[in-house]
Amino acid sequence: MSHVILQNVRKTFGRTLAVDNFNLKVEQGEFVALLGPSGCGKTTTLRIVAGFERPDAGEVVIQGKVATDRPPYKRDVGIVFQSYALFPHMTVLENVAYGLRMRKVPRPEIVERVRSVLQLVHLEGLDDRYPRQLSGGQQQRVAVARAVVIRPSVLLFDEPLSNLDARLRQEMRRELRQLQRSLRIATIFVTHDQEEALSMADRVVVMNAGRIEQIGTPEGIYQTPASAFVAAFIGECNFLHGEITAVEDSSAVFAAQAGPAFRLPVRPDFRPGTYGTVAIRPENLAILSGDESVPPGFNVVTGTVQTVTYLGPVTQYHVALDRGYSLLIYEQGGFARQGRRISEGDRVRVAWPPEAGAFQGDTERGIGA
Amino acid sequence: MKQRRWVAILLLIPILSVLLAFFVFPVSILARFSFYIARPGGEMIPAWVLQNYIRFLFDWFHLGVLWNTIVLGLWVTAVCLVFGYPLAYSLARTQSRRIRGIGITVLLIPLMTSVVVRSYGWMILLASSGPINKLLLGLGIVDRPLQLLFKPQGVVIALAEVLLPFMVLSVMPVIQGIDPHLEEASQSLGAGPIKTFRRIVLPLSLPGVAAGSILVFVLTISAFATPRLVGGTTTQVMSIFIYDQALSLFNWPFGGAVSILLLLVVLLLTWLQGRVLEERGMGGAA
Repeated sequence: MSHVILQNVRKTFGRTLAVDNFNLKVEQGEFVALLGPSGCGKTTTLRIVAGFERPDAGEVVIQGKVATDRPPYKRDVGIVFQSYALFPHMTVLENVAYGLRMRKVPRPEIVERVRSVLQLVHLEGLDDRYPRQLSGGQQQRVAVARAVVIRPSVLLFDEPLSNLDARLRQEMRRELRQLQRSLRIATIFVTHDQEEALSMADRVVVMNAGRIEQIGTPEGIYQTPASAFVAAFIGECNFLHGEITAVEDSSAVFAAQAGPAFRLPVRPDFRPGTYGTVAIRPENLAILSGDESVPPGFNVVTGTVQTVTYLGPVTQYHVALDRGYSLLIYEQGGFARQGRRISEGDRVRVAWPPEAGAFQGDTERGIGA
Repeated sequence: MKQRRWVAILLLIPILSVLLAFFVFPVSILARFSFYIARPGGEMIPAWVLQNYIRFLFDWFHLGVLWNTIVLGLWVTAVCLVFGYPLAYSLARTQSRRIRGIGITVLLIPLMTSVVVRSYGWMILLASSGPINKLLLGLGIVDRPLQLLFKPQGVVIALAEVLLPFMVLSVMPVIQGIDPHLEEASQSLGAGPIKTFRRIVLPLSLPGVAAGSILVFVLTISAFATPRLVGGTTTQVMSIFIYDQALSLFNWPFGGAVSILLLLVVLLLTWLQGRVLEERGMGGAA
C-alpha cells in the first residue's frame, strides 16, 4: 500500500484555484519532487500534506489512515522550511530535541537520538550554539536534523536549498539524497529548480496552475515531456509548429509552418493534416560542418550559425535555418571536438534522429483528431 | 566610520537639547529642592539634608501611598496584558491589511479624546445608577449596585482602557516579527497550539510584553487626572500626593523628594527590564 495518498485534492483561496484534481501516491522510501513555477500550487499541496491547509475537497491518507481532518501536531510529519524556521531562542540541541520532548521521550533516549542525528548531518560539537551563530548551511542541517529525529512517516521539504549559495546547494543535494536513502522515509520535496528535482527525486511531479502536468521519472519527464509546458519548463527546447503531412509504416513526415519538413517516429493517433508542435532538445541536435557525414536515418536541415557561446563543458549554437526558424543546439565539449572550429556566419548542417522529436497535437485546432 | 559617528551625533542634537532643556534641567532643580529644608508656609531654606526622604521612607502612611501606586500599576498592567495580548496577536497575524488598519484605528480612538472628558465619561458609566450597574442589575448578575466609582477598581478600568493601545502597539510588531513558520514547525513536531504558544510565541514575544508592561506601568503610576476624578479621595497615589504637597501645601522640598523617589522606581524598573531581556539572550544584537 502506498505510504502517502492524495486523492482528488482541491484547494481554493477566495476565487483563486490553488490546487485542483490532485492525485498522487508516494511509496515507502520514495523521493518525490513537486516541480513548477511559483504560484503553481506546489507549496499549497505540501501544506495540505502537513496539515497547515485543509483541502476543500479530496482526501489525504498517511500510512493507510485518513488524515484530512487531523491537525498537523497529530500527523507525524517532519518539515523543513525554506527559512529553516529554527527556534531562535533555543540552542541547536534544544531545537533538535524539541520534537522528542513533545513526544515525551525519556531524557536519556533524547540525548542519544539527538547525538546520533547530529552526527548523521555532520554537526557535531555545535550543541550549545544558537541558530544566529550558525552559517546558512549549518542552519539547514539543524533544520533537517530536527525534522528527521522524530522518525516521521513523511518528510516534507519546502524549497530548502534556495537560500544557499550555488556550491553549497550542490553539496546539500547529494547529502540530502543520501540521507533520505539511508533513512528510507517517504519524502515530498517542493522546488522550482528543475536541476534539483531531476538530480534528487525518484519521481518528479510537474505542476502548472494548480494541476499536474506530468508525473514520471526524471528521465521520462525530460526525454518524453507530456506537454509543451513540461518541455519548455524543464531544460531548453526547440519548438516547431506545423502539421503532419504523411504517415508511413515506420515514420511520419512533419512539415513545420514556413519551415523544414522532417521525419518523426510514427504514432497510432497520427493522421495526415494533424496540427501540432514538435519539441526537440538542443543536445539531441548535432551540428555538422564541411564534409562530416550524416548518420543514416537522421533528419538534416541547412542553416547559418548566428551565435556561438562557449560555456566550458558545452558550447551553445544558434543556427538560423534557411527555411525559417532558429534552432538552439548544445554540443558536448571534450577531446572529440577539439581542433574543430565553427564560427559565426559559417554554413552548417543540423542533424537529428527522428526519435528526438516529440509531437504534441494541437487540441485547439483539433483538425483530423 | 568616524564620519558616520559624527552624523549620528548631529542627528541626535535636536532631541537631546529638547530633553536637556525641558526634562533634565527641571528635574535637576527639583532634585536640588528635595535636599532643602522646608518651613511652614512654603518657605525653603537651601541646605543638603536627607530629612525629606527620611520623612517619606520611614512612615507607614507614606509607604502606603507608594504601595497603593505600585499595586494600581500592576493591576492596570495585568488587565492591559490580558486584553491586549490576544488583540495584538490577532492583529499581527491577520492576513487582511484592512482588518489590521481598522483594528489599530479603533484602538487609537480613546487617545484622541482629552483625559478629563474621558474620565468624566467613565464617572457616568461607573456610577451606582450608571449604565454598567443598570445592566448588571437587569441581568440579575448582582442584586446591589457595585461600588465602582471612587474606588480603585474604577481607576483600574478607566486607566486600562486608555493605556490598552500602548500595550497592543508594543506587542504587535514583535509578534509580526516572529516567522509564522516557527509556529508551524512547532506544530509539525508534535506541539499543540497551547504548547506552541507557551514554548515558542510567548518567549519570543517577551521583549514586546516587557516594553508594553513598563510603558503601561510607568504611565499608570504617573497618571494624575484619572485617579483624581474616577478614584476620588479614596485612592491616594503618588502623583496626587506630590501634587498636594507642591501645590496645596507649598512644600516643594518634600514634593520634590517624593518625585525623585517615583523617578527612581521607574528607572529601576526600566533597568530591570533591560537586564531580564539580556539574560534571556534577546538583547537584539546578533
